Amino acid sequence: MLEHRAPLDQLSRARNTETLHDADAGLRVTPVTDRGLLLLQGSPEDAVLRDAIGRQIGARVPGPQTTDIRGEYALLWMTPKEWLLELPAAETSAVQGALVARLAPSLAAITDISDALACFDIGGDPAMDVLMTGCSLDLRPHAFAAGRVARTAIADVHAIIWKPGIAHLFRCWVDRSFAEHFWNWLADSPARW
Amino acid sequence: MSANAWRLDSGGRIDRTQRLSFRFDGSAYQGFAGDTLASALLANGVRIAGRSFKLHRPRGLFGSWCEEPNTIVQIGRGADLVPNLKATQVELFDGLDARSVNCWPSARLDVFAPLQLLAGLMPAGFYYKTFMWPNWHWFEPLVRRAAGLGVAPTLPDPDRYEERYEHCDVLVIGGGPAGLAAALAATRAGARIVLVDDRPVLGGALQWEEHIIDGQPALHWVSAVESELRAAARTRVLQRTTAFGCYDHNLVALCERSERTSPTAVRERLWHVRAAQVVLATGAIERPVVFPNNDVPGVMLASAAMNYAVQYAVRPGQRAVFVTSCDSAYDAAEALRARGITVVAIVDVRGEPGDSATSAARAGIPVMAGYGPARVHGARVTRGIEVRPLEQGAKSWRSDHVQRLDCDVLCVSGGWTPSVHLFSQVGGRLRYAPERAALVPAADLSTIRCAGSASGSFAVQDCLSEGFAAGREAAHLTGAAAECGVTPAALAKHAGVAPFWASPRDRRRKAWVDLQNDVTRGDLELAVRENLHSIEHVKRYTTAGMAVDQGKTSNMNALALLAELTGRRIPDVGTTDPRNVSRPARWSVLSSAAPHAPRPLAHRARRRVGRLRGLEASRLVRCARRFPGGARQIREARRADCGKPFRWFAARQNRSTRPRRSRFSKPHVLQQHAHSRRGPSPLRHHAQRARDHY
Amino acid sequence: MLRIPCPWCGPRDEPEFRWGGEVPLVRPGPPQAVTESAWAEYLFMRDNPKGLVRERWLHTLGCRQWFIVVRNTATHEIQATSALGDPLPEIRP
Ligand SMILES: [Zn+2]
Repeated sequence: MLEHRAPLDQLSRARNTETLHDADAGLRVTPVTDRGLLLLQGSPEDAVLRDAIGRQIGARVPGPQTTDIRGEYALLWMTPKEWLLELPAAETSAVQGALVARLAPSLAAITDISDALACFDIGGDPAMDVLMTGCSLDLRPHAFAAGRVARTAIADVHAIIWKPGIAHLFRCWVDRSFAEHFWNWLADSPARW
Repeated sequence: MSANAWRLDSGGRIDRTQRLSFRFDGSAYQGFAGDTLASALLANGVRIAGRSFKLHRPRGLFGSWCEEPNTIVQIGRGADLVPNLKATQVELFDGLDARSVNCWPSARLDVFAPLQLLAGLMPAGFYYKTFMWPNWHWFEPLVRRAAGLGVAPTLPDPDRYEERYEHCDVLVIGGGPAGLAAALAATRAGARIVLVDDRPVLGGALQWEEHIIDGQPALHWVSAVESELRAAARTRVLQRTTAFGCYDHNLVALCERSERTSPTAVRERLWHVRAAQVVLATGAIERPVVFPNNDVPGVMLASAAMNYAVQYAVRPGQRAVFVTSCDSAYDAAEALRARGITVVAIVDVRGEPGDSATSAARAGIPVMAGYGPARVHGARVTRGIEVRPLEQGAKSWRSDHVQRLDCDVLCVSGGWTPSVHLFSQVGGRLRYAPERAALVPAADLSTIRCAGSASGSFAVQDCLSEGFAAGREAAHLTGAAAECGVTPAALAKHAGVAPFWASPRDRRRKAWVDLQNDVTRGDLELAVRENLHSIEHVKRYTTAGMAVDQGKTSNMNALALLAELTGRRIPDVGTTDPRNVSRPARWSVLSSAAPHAPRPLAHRARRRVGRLRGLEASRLVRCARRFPGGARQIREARRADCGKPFRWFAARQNRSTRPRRSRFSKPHVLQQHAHSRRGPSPLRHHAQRARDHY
Repeated sequence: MLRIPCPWCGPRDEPEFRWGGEVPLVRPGPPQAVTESAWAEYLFMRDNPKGLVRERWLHTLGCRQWFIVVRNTATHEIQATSALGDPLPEIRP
């Protein structure tokens, strides 16, 4: 078994990564370290896959741009044949093992990619404004409602952004090698608004 | 002369309790909060505020906003230095340190001034013919020093610049009567809108023109609309923001300047707005008239004179003469007269000027109908004007009888030119409307419509009704269909105009067409004599309209004169295409990078503009990296590839299997087209692939 | 900058995409039997029409799917898009 290295390790050595809280603007940026990610690949028509997801976490396979949130689990649509399962980091191996067993009869694959991506919660009133300084998506509430997910570029790096449902909160996943860049960009943002 | 002689005792939208000190060319002056640098200079009696680009002739203030061709300044020092600003657009602040450009030591005393004695040696295109032997590069440093604008700062820019993406249903560009009416209608309809205005205060010309709108003074109406817009949750109002580019699929690039509240605040912000519908209410720019010596300090646009007098309470002069071919100048004359400035006469080139002239005469302003300007007296300052009676049609003089009128400010108005740069950038077609003496949008595009003066409707009542209708229609198309209320109405004003571009030819004296680039009527004639008939060729040969103002005051006159010289009608001459970034924007804001971004500024700026235009950044970068030696290496690679020297058309023929048709017929335009084409054309992709391969 | 409606992700800005050339473009084969001229034709010659054209785009930064776009090369109007595998969209002149 390989040694587990949290994606934000490098970042935390380099900088103070406690919650960035700008009281004046009301912006709050939190590095999230307790979430794991499983990548599911398969066909949306695959009954085994749908059944496995339903039985394991009670979720349905979401359609384009949407998510299905069940308690601590969130299943995010990525591409027509890929989904991300976001779950508590501690459960990652167990859930992966269970899903591997359930998916055995099908061609679907499941991979633990928790170490590949770093996660940030961006909340507070100016969260949307700050993100729209570097993201060309329309993030206004009527266009990017709760439960929406998108893969796009933020601050010139590839990112997954989704809205868990709490008002003014966005969750972003970026490649771990860009985590420091992304953090710097966010830390720099209170000066902008 | 004391400063009081130039500043009116009362009125104006300046704060007389707040005195601001500033310096211009090393001398200390004072102005008030609310002034622009230009109005403050005028209020201090500074008449020569700049030097012309080529001949170093003395020049004064000519316009009052973005149309200003003469008064280019640079402000600040060291890292704060900002070159090539128009004095008319610099808001005065305490401690402002401005210098005129292209002259030394100052605009008033310029050591290069004797260059104007050599004017005869520098006709249009002289640099294509001289300095070629033995090597242009020997002369280049000297020429560059003598002709040029500001000095670029050498220290890194300490300020912050940001970018911002925005989406909206309706984007209204322009905060004048048409823009405000459009924003009002769209807001009431329930659309999500962004209103953009490049001035510090909303209202546009309503700030200095006197109108009655909905039964109240125009400024009351403006503030009522402004508070309604600001109260609307779905409406964003951006002031001090210039829309400089309109790109594919309704992407509009804006540059927002901050008020500089703190040194760490963002200085300028680049907005990428993606709008479902765009309303262009960009207004119109008054057009000068071409006649001998029309560049002497003291000659200015009638609207500018009115703007200075009404908005800034500055006397543009003590004795004014108006030269006009349109009705709007009568309002300006009346405004000046009401503020105690002697209006010597209104010289109207039209034989029968109509009602405006009757009421002006009734108010005691002499109107000389059917007269034209023959020449301006004065070298460093206007001392008077000679007028002569014109033939019907204003093509020649009717008699030799010359009358001299003494004045120190000459207000000219040859009609209005709609500001359609953004409309043309996205491929909007123009048509010549003789009854308005202007090129106006031929038809709205499906998602972009023009309203008010920008579409050639210059009267305020038409601006309001057109703007309101445009805002309502645009909002309806995005699905916002709430009741918009009643269209604002104004007391009707006359907006009659007759086409008049230039006085009859005077071979002994220079008549200036493009003030910024020192292009005269003689230069245009020379170009035509040398067989350059296409407007694109004449533009490049004479440089008319190629200055940093992109010919805001000169293009239409150059076009009309070219039509006359070549015996064509104006629609047959065609127009030149305005470039994107239609108002100068800084590299800093174009690159708008976080402080830790690694690449050089120019590189980032170029990449950003390329992206806006749809040229894929990665390709440009790759190209530059592969060929550090520039064009020569590309040509060598091409030779290896095609077996012949690179010629665009040759490569084109080699590549194509069947004849291609194009709406462009001239090779140079074609080539430009190929480079500027937005989006991935297979042709360009292929060329790129060939280049990458080597 | 174009705004391209990805059939999966909705309208996105052009830098998120990669252009993939005109369709249909059929690779000649088998390789041994292809003449040089046919090969050159396949590699280098494109119709490049002025007007509506069907082309492939890849949503690199989004769903990473190839799809078909009907684009007007003169005006950049995008008339239709469709996912790969769906019937090719009609070109309506
Ligand atoms: Zn997509």
